[in-house]
Amino acid sequence: MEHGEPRGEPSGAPPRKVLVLMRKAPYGSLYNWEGLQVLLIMGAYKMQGLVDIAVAFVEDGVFAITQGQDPSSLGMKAIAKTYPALPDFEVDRFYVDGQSLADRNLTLDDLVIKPEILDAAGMARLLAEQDAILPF
Amino acid sequence: MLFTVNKSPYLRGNLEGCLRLAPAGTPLLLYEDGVYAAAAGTRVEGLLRQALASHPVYAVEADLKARGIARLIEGVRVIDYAGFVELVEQHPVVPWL
Repeated sequence: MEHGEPRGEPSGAPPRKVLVLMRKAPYGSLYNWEGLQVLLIMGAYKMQGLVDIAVAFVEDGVFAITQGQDPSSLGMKAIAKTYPALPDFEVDRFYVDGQSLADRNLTLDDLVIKPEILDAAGMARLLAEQDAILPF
Repeated sequence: MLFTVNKSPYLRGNLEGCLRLAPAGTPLLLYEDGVYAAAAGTRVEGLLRQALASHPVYAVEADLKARGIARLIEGVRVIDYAGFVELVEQHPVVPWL
């Protein structure tokens, strides 16, 4: 089963590697929120052994996981609060682009989760090893 | 004239383009993702300092709060929605979308 539909039971084939790539800031558009919904759904596929899920934050995507967000006056929910709960949905591999953090004067201490920091070469290797990349 | 910027300063030279064309002295209002430009110590701080040298610069409080931006570049004036409305009443608006 190389390109078949996902099935309800493990096929014996190695899980397909999927990377959700967060590129957009959290409140100015719905991209990040939609990426989160996809992660929650993909968690169900991971539980069936069909996929391996990783999440990488690059460019303005790093703003999704900063501490101190309070969008109550915008009538929205705090995006950052969902990320620490993702391991409960079997999504627990997080990466962040070091340059994107540095450009925005952010460090790991400013974030709600502790992703592995990658340089550009490391990020390129991560992208290269995926079967599918879903950018948001 | 009031120039309003609601896109991230890291995207497509949006803020840069606005600053190149906004006449000196006209106020600049940052809202939505535009407020990321007001954060201190970033790669784009120089851009905003350049703006502050020739424009009054405002940032909407609710958008700063939503994004957890606490450390602002000195000189940026934080306003609430009432202040936003007041500026819009006082100036013809140029939305730099």
